[in-house]
Amino acid sequence: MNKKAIFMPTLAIATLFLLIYAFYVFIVKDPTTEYYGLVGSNQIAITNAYKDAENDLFYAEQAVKYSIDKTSEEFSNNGGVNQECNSQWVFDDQKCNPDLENNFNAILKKNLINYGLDLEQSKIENNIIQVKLKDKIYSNNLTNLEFKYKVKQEFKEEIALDFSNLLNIKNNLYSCTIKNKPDTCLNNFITKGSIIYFTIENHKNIFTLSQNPGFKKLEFKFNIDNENPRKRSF
Amino acid sequence: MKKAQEELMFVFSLIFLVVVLTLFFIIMSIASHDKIKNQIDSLENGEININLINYLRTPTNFNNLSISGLITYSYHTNNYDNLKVITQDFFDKFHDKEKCQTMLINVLTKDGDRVFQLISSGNTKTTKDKFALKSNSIFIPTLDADNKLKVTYVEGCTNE
Repeated sequence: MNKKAIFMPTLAIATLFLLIYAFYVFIVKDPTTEYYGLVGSNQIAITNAYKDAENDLFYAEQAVKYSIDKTSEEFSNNGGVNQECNSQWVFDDQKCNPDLENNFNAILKKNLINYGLDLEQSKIENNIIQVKLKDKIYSNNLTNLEFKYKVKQEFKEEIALDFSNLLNIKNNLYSCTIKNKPDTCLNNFITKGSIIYFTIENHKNIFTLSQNPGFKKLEFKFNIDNENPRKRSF
Repeated sequence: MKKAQEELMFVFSLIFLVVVLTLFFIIMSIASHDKIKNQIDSLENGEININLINYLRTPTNFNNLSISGLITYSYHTNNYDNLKVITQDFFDKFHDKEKCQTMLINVLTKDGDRVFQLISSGNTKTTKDKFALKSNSIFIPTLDADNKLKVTYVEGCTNE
């Protein structure tokens, strides 16, 4: 038989041995090893990580929204200062100083912790709060694939309070009370003794559980000692 | 004569090769059937997750809440009337009732108590479609941080 004639039978027998060996390696040798599944398993692990990230991000987004509404309510009820200050602004006092943005962020941080979320940074601009939570990492270490999927958790929400207006009021009062009494600086207040009371209404509804569950508009109430606006008298 | 033998050997070898390759293909297809099926199911689950999140993000006319917000609101007020109407409206937009198709939304508390369920079933008698039910769940927060709700979305055909 010449070389040309022997080629095809040799090829057929070699193919047979090769396929038997492939069948042994992929199917018989270790049935638990998913040679076929490897490609699929990796893809599934990646799509599952993506799915988990989407679900967690959705949860965080909703939780941030509720936390901001809760914070706005608590912040309004406290008059923008520590709860112990009975809504009284005292400019030169550490505890009752109306450092509005920092005070808001402190309450927000506490509310987010209740939802198992960790606030990294927040910033209020034009009544919009930007909340940045700690990045979440999804990782997997498969046989031949290792991945780390880092998800940034950043959200923007409108605050139910007119924060810009509050900052203007605070700045006006602060500069005014250096030389004058607070009642000469602003209008629309009620006086009881030496204390003057301000109420700022807001127009955005928030859903709250306080008293009866339902929607309500927030009222930001604070007071200031007309005689001594910079030092604590209580 | 020798030439004829060589030709015959060539033809038999070719037939043998084709038979071996065909058998190998059939055996491998049967042996790996389950593994291939798993891959398809998992990718479909990713798709249904997108449908579930789309449902939850859908805005409503009720106090500018999304459906997710409406679920939370309904849970706290224990009134699911608006949620029922809006979910039915959502089903009607995407549900072809001439086909064997079922859409279901289920809301459970973290303790497993069912607080809401709505099903939209298609025509299961005339269709020849056969596909399994696919489902996916997601947790959504409530206003009291200690509690959360599990929303499950089921889509598919029950006509087996």
